[in-house]
This record gives sequence, C-alpha cells and structure tokens, in this order.
Amino acid sequence: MIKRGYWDIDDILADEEPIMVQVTKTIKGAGFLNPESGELDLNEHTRFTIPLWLAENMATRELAKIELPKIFGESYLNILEADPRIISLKDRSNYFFEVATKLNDFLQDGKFITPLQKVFVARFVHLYNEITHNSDPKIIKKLTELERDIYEKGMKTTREFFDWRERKFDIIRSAQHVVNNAKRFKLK
Amino acid sequence: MSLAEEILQLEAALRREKVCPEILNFESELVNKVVTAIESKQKLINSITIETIEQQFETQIYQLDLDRIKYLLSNYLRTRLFKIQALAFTIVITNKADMLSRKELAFLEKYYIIKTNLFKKSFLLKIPEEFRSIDHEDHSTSPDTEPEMNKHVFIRALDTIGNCKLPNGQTANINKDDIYLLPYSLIKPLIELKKIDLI
Amino acid sequence: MYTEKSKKLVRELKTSKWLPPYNNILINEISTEITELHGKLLQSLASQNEALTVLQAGCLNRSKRSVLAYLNFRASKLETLRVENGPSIPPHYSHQLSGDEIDYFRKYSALLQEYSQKVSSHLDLTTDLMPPKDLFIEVRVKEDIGDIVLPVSGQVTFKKNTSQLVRREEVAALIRQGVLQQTN
Repeated sequence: MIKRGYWDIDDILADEEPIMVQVTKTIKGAGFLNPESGELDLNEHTRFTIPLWLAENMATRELAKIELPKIFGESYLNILEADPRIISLKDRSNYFFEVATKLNDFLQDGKFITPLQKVFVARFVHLYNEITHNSDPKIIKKLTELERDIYEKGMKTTREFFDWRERKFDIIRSAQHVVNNAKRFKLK
Repeated sequence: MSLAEEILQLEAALRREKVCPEILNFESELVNKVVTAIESKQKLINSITIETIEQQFETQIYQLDLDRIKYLLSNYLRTRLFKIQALAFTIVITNKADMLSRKELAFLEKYYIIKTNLFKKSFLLKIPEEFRSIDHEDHSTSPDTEPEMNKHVFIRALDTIGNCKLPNGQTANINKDDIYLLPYSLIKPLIELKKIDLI
Repeated sequence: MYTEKSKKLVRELKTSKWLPPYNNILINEISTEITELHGKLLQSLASQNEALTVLQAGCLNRSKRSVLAYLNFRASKLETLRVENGPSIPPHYSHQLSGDEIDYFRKYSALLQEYSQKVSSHLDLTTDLMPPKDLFIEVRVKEDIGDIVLPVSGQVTFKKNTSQLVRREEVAALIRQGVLQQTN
C-alpha cells in the first residue's frame, strides 16, 4: 500500500471513495462494518460498499475482494474517450484520478489506467486553453478537486504573469484573508 | 565589499531548496558571510551623515540594494523553515537533523514540542495511551518517513551521463547541458555525484 | 461503522475559505468512540479473533489519522496567517479557533521571532515576502490607526484616507494586513 501523505487532507478524502467489495472469509463480530445488515458477524459472500482505505485493508489480508468501480469500467471509459472534455468528472468522483491511481497501484490490473491517462491529458490541455484564454468560470463545476486546483493555480499564475509584464508586480498585496473579507476579489 | 559571488551562490541555493522535496544541507559558510556583510553594510549606512542631496540619493540606493540582499537571505531561510515545519515529524523520526543549522535545529525542537502539545491537549490525551504516539515506526499507520521522493524536478546535466533508465521503461541519453524533468528519487544519486543541478 | 464522525470532521475543512469553527464536540465524540473501540479491540485480541482485531485497529488508526490531519491542517493555516499577517489574529478569525489553537499561534509567533532575531537583529523574516523594488512607497491609509512608532522612521501618524510616502520595509506588514494600501 502506497502512503501518499499522512497529513494530506485530499489524500484522506480520496480514500473515502465508496468501493464495492465481496467478503471472502467470514469474520465474527465484524458486522459493525455493514450496519445495514444488522448482523453481528460479517459473512462470506456479502457484497457491500466500504471506503477505499478499508477495502484495500481487507483485500491485502484476503478478507475481501475489490470490484472495479463502474466509473473505471469499459462502457464508461468509452463514453469518456469519446469526448473527455465535456463530461463532468466531479459527478462521478471528486477524486477521480487519485482513486484510479490508488486502485491501479493496488490491483495491478493496468487495463483501465492507460485510457485514463489519455483522458487526463486531454482534459488538462483543455484546461490550459481555458486558463490562458480566460473563459467561463462555470467550468469549475465539472472539475475534480485536482483539476480545480490546477485551474485556480493556473489562473493565479497567468494573472501574476500579466501583472509582472505590466510592472504591477511590485505592489505589495493584501493577505488573502483581507481580500476574502472585503469581497472585492474580481478576476480581471 | 563586493558580495556578487555570494549573491549568485545564494540565489542558486534558494532555487535548489525551492524545488527539492527533501531538505538540503544548510549553507552555513555562505549564510555567515552574507549575514556579516549585511550587518556591516547597515552599520555603514547608518553612520553616514547626510549633507547633500547627492549623498541622500546615494544612501538610499545603498539601502535598497541592502534590502534586496536581505530579501534574498530571508527567502532562503524562510523556504527552509517552512520545509522544516512541513517535514518536522519526518526529520525527527529519521534523524535527518544534520542537514540543519544549529539555530534551525533549536527551532525544530521547540516547534515539535508546541505542535505535539497542541495535538495532545486537543485530542491525544483523550484516547487510550497505547495509541497516543505519532512517531510510530509502523509505516502504515504513521506519518511518512520520507518526503515526496517521486516528485518530478527539472535538472540540468553538468556533465555527460550517458544512458539512463527511466521509470516507464525507456532510456534517455543524457548529455552535458541537457534539461530533463524526472522523478527526484531517480536522480538523487546524480546530485550527490555533482553530475547534475536542480533548476 | 466507527469512522463516520472522523470523515465528517475532515470534510468540514472544505466548507470554509479559511477555517470552519473548531469542532470540539465532534472531536470529543470521536475520542469516546476510539476509547470504546479500543476496549473491543482488547476483547478481540483476548479471544484470538485476528481478523476482527486487525479491522478494529484499522478503524481506530483511521479515525486517529483523520483527527490529527484536521488539527495539523488548522495549525498550518495559523502558521501561514502569522507570516502573512503579523503577530495578531484578526478578530473574525479568532472566533473559529480553540483556546489551544490561539495559544499555539502565540507560541509559534514567539518562536518565529526568536529564530529571526538569532540569525541577525537586522533581519525580519516576515517583512518583504516579495523582492523589494523601491525604498519608499506611497500608501493610502485605509484604517485610522493614529500614531505608530516605526523602527527607522520614528513616529508616524496614519490618518484614514490620507496618502503618505513611507519606507517600504517598515510598512510591508501593515499593507498585507489591509491597514494601508500601496498606490504607486
């Protein structure tokens, strides 16, 4: 299991992704993991959803088998590859690429990761164009957490670049919280 | 007293520190030189009695120049300090403290204490004793013992290195002055051999 | 399932631009849960139910990690605030913090100053965060703060809505705090 950052909030949240598993060995007393069943024990063959961190935990110890989520399955990948830019990945998972990477590291399956790399690049190029041509901020609604971070950093860097070009860079700026509170933050 | 050479070295040290995921060796000789120079320059500027407009103008130029040197040094020290904060638990667990200056080490020790005290008072003292430690040797349940070693960095080859195997299976033929973007863990040994520089 | 509360705690961090109010109640609830789970873990250990023990420990460590990451994230925000904004906490921010966090801010502030002073008394690590271009700059006073004693310029009066020429190094922090605004 690859640890990506004990303290990293996004890593923790990505790990919460619901994953379908099938129990491969009955565990006495573990029914609390599946509260809906009302059972005391976790029985073999039970299929239910648990967070990714727990799924990996159980799979490593051969207590359960992970099922690849639909969003990484063939039919969904086909939709994605058709036009990667317009799909709202955020609806599928706010941590789409992180979850994909973690599952790939774990399952060592590899089939779904290559098309996803292409999807990522296509979306990234699209993002880059949006950033440098200063377009509609509504695009944010379709972006995953990672993409949104890229977008915001890109916008900030572009703004700073133009400021530097016009020699406005030497002006000391108010700290972010002052700006947040004055509500006078506007994208130029 | 010309600081030109030291300034270039300090700029390079700052750049390296900014891109590298690990904390690098503290440039104590360099920093000492710059601090001494700053202090003596400031004393010199303060001692000038300004009698003409030209003198006032000159003094202001010296002061601004000094301010910029101070900025450079501040930036270097700040960058390191923030890295030390971010990697505090890692440095303590893996004992990498020899990369730090004595003053940074003193900072780290106190920082570690105030931070763990915050965690203890807010939370850890409320849970059973066996689970209170943060500096666990067990990798799966405790903070990373390594910073992001796979972070990609830009490098410039200072020498011809020849064939180098890349993580995706391809090989790259690295010649002098070539610039590449590679995972830090891959190129770290080359830095130590002084064959490449981080940019 | 023992980790719902800690998940909720971490998620809260995303709901605010800076920090959400410190959720002491939830942290106490999670602590109780962990203690309870710990008791059960000892039982599983005694009855040699290895699989159960492992799962319970996993949940326990997960909750612990979530709370620690929550506290750490908040502490980092405080550290950034100190560097950007100086040694005082803006009033609307202090409401979001616990007493221990306010204490942490003060201690960190002192630590930062101590280090800065030790390196050189001529150096202030939190003044220029950008390369200085001018020795003197023009500022507009946004808040009436009256008379201030500056290290080199001495006593200066800052009256709201006036403009003045001031030494950049001394007022950089005040500009970042929003008290002054650079106009040239």
